[in-house]
Amino acid sequence: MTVIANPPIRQRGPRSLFTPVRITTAIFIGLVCLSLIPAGGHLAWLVGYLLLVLVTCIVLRTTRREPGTWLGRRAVRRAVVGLIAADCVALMATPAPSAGSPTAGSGLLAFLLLLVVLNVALGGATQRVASAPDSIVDERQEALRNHAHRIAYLIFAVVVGGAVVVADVASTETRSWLASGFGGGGWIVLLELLFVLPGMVLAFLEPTHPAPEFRTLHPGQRHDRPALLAKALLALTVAIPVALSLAVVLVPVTTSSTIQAPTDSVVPGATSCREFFATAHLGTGIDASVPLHAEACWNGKRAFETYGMNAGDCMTFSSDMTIVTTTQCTQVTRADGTLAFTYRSDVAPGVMPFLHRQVTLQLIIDRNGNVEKFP
Amino acid sequence: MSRLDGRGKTPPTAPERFYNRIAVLRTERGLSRQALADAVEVNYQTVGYLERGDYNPSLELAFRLSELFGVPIEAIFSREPMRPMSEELYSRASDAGGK
Repeated sequence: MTVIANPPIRQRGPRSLFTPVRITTAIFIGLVCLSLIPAGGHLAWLVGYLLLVLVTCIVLRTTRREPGTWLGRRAVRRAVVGLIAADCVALMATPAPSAGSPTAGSGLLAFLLLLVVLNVALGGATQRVASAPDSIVDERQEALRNHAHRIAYLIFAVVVGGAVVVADVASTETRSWLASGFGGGGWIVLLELLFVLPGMVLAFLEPTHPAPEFRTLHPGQRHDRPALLAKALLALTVAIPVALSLAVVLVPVTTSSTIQAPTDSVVPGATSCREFFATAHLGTGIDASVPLHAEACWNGKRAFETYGMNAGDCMTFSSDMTIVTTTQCTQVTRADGTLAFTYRSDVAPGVMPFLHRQVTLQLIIDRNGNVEKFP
Repeated sequence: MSRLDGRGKTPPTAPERFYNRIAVLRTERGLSRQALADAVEVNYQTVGYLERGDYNPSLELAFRLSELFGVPIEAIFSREPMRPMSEELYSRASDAGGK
């Protein structure tokens, strides 16, 4: 019997730089950048984070993962597929962002981020065999990939085609649902199904990966360093938005305030006037600034406002990836002539809208111009 | 013999169960799965699936394995469960001694 201790290693063909997945990812990141750039002034934060996401994607793609890790288990992969399906349903049910309902947009963003994380997990679990070119798959993977594509095509045709046809012919309500469904997360779900459904089917079908053999391959190493780096980057990518969102809710609010003489002319019936500026700032990167701007005068009998806390004066907040909702915007002159301005708002991080905190800015000034309360 | 996947359907990649000695032959030669996979130009997971009997190779891959290990295909693959190699060798040696 001939024993071959060091068999010849055959090289596979080079991987193409422009695969459909890479092109789609680049287009997606570009679209996200374009849509977010006008939204806030913290462009450096955003660009830095997107670069981190990009580096994480590249490291994840170039890291060879051992088979048999927890993502290779069929039950885990099926759970990921189930979560993606549930996320798609949630995206379909979430209304499109609108001026009247900013919370809806944040919900869409949260589900979208979850979808990205789940897609990364799915890619790791299936080693992206579903979208791999012929040059880098072997006969087993090719057969599995082709089988997954056949099933995915059938599912897509039946689910999407069937839903569109039925909704279009059933009634006026279903027709309007069809139109509105594609206004929100519908397009995202459609793209997800178009590009990721074969991967989902493959993850569902493939048996549990064989047990890992890392120790045999690298007996001198305790850990697979590139894999550890990839895991650390992935954890960082997820942890940053979570930490910044928590900071909005947990870190103490910083306030700054100034009082100055008004620039406009003398107000009739007033002894003196002052202009009050205060700003409450929450968070970093994912942040919001809630300003109070009011002008008050007094004459020894009462204090009265000349500007501020009327309808429309409480809409001047600025927010980056946060949702600011004004809950109270009032100016009240009490019986003793004291004037109280109150600006109360609810601030929630955009990626975790279920977390929120209340910010109250209050200015109380008595009839003699003494400031009783001001940040 | 037809292998069922628990729901009464035959998986597309393994319509019939074949038994093999790939794990034994690989270990005898001190090869890792990765080294064997590189040598026969398949993914390292495919070697694991082959060893576990979850995947039946094509004729081409079977020949590549046969050439690599230097044994006939029937010494690697079988339709029936395979006896341990030591037992098989011992019985052959006994048969030869008896003659």
